[in-house]
Amino acid sequence: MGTALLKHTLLCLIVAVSQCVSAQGCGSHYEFAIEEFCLAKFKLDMQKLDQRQWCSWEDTVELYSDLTNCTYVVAQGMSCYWPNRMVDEFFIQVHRYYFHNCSLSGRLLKDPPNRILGPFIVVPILVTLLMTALVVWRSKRSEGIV
Amino acid sequence: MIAKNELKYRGSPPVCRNMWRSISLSLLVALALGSEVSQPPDDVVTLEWAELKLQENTSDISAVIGNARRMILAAQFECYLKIIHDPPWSEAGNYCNRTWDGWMCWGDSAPGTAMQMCPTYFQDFDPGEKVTKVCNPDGQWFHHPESNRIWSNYTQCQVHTKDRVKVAISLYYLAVVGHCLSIVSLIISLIIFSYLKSLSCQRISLHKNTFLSFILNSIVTIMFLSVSAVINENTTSSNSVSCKILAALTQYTSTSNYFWMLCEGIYLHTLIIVAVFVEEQQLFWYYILGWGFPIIPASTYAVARWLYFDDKCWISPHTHLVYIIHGPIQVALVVNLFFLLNIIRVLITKLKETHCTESTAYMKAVRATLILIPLLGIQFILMPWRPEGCIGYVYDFFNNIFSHFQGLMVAIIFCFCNSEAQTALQRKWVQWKSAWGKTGFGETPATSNHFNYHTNSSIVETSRANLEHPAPAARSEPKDNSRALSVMQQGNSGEAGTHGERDAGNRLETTGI
Repeated sequence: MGTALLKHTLLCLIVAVSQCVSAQGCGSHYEFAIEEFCLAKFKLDMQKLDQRQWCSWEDTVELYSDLTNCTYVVAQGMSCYWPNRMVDEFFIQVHRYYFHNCSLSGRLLKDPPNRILGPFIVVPILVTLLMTALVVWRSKRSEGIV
Repeated sequence: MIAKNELKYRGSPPVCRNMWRSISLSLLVALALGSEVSQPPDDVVTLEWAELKLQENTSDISAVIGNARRMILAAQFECYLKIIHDPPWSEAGNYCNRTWDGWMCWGDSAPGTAMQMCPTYFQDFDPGEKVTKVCNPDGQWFHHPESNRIWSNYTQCQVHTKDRVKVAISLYYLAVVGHCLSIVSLIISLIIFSYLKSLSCQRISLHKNTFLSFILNSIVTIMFLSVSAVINENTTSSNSVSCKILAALTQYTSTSNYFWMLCEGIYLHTLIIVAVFVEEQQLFWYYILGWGFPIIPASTYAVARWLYFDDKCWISPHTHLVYIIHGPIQVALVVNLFFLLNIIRVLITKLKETHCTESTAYMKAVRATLILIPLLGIQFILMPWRPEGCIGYVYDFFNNIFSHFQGLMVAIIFCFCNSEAQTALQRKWVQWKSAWGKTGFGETPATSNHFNYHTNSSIVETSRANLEHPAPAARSEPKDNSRALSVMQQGNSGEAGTHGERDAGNRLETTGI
């Protein structure tokens, strides 16, 4: 709660400063602001995590969310639209440093690969055919039991 | 998750199953209740609107990461990973740089219009519609004239939402009405079959189990539709285990429906073709196939879904995992159809060789099942070919009728149109009336002894009673005659002792439609 308050106060300060400087400050001022403010906090938070956890989505999603929010709020304060070219380059840097080893998929809901999906679908079908054959055979066999 | 009621997956596999439709239309109903809906202004469509919406709905912003927000974050993360790993642009000329536009990822594009399918973050987005992003010839993405920001066109994603909500709500009500009618008619049929002891035989036992399976299916489906419509409002209960158990149970009952129909087909096949003069079959294996076996696909589906596609309440139909359930169901339908066609073939060839009375009796037995199998299966056959436009809504309407009124159709075809059941009911009615001392139909109570339908009465006696009593419905007369004739033929042929004769007669009695 305290850090959130601090965050907001610092942010208002930066916004006020940048407003004085330029109304359309989507150039270096914005870049400076997000690197000084958002990236610093993100670096601190990521250092608290073990390096092996950097690729774990569950562990990093909150930090990533904070980082994204931060860039968004700064953009709003500087009357920039979000996202923009600066945001792209910023995140490319972040990803090159922290997440370049992480798997490209798996965070969004997606079907498993075919080598897993295939057996899951084919095996119940085969078992169905087997069971049907078994039942037909058993009902046929009862002819002998009279 | 968007409802797939309109089912327009241009460029993606047609995962169009009725059950999923009925589940997914409940999502659109939830849409009408207004959760996680994006309402962007006409000119600006970016992340801020999703954020604002979330902020409106939640008091503590930091505590709750909504479903849409989480999906968008994951998409953003994977987008930047893709951006840093993709090879650089290799073709000559200007191109627009790869970028994240706030909702979707765009790679390097040549000048022109880049297209993707709409995302599934919001319930009013149709994943069948397209998102477009224009790349100008000078290598810059299109800037919206009013706000001068880089802009992707997401307007098509929600242009038809209002219409689809209306259609989805009406289909939802249709589903609930269908299932309620099915439950009522099936319970009546169960009561009829249980109360009229004269009808008891193995085939009726199978009918009773089929009815029970359909009743359970309807009850569970109604519960699931209601729950899934409600659960979308409450994003914090996203991992409700009970809802997932209900989803798995829905799959189990749906599968057991079709497997009970398969049991009916196998029983008829064995009865008529394989073991014609056998003592009563062991129903044990039929019970295993009908009630026990569906546990296998249902539990496989539950495990696969939990491991690989664990969304809220397992409601999303946008996955190939649904084929774990639909594969066995389709196999059951095809095998059943094969058995029934085989029976028809044998009966027709028999017709050519011998007199038609026996074959007619068997043919009538088969007729009911043969009508039902296509009715149950037609939704799987027609499903992938949904026409577009207004006819699509008519198509949806008929498909929903076929799928949700199945219980009612089964009850009508197996019970209400079953002439045996009708005759037995009429006899019972006359019995009651005579027991109360009334004289309907101009008979004295003494003649009611003809209709004293004890189960151990001789078949020949009751057949004679059929012939004496004027048949209430004209169409049952020829059948009565043929049945009596065939029973007498059986009796005279001396194939078996009296026991065998009674069984043959029993079989013909109760297999007539």
